[in-house]
Amino acid sequence: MTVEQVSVFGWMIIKTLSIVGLSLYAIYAGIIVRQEQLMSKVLAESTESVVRMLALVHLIASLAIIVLAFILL
Amino acid sequence: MEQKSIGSTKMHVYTAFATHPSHLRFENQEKNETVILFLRQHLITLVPWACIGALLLIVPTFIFPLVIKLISTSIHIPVGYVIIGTIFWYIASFGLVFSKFVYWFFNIFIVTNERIIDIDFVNLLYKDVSETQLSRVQDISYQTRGIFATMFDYGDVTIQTAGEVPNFAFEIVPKPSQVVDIISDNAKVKLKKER
Repeated sequence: MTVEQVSVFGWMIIKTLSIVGLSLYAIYAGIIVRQEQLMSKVLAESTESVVRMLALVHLIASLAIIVLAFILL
Repeated sequence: MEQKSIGSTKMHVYTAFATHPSHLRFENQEKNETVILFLRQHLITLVPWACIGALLLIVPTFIFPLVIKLISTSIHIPVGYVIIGTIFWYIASFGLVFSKFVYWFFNIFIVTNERIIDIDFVNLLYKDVSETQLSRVQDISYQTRGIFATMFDYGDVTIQTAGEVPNFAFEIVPKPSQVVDIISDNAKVKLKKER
């Protein structure tokens, strides 16, 4: 294996690990959305929609960064 | 036109103390049951997380260039990793602070004309809901400790009951003296009604 090949292989591993890490984070963002849904069943109040919207925005951003990682990395 | 009950408090995302809150419903609420008092922990409990959030926000501006400069002497980092790393840092920082806010938002104490309810969400799989009838309240007290508690008017309210749950503790709630007054007044009314 040449030094160049080792370098390419190394970056492939880093790219795979980065995407796995980002995917795990997206799962965490999904859990926050689900948690918010469960919590709002117990307490229904007028301002809850703001929290729901923020949780959804966070999830969408977490998914979007995975797509961006596929493009840029 | 929207009708508001007398003395009702309009709810906001950051409301931590509300008497007769409007548009509030909770699980297992009876038909004739009205919410008298709604409590969350004092907003001051969110201050450390707001500070951590602010610190995390400035890290990419000051620390990232230094780290990249240090690493770049031995390895060349592709620009894609820098962009993804920075964006992810902001998303994760928001996620951390937001998850703490969600727990604060949904950990609540409710006093109705019938009972006292304490709802605690520990995580997705664990929810702790304890309640007691107002007529079972035996003793109620509050403690404010320290300079900040005095300055910002928050403290711990302890309610001793004759029920299965011997003690209720509302920790770091705003206006503890008012909370005690409201609960004891309504407990007296409830007791009178039952006699």
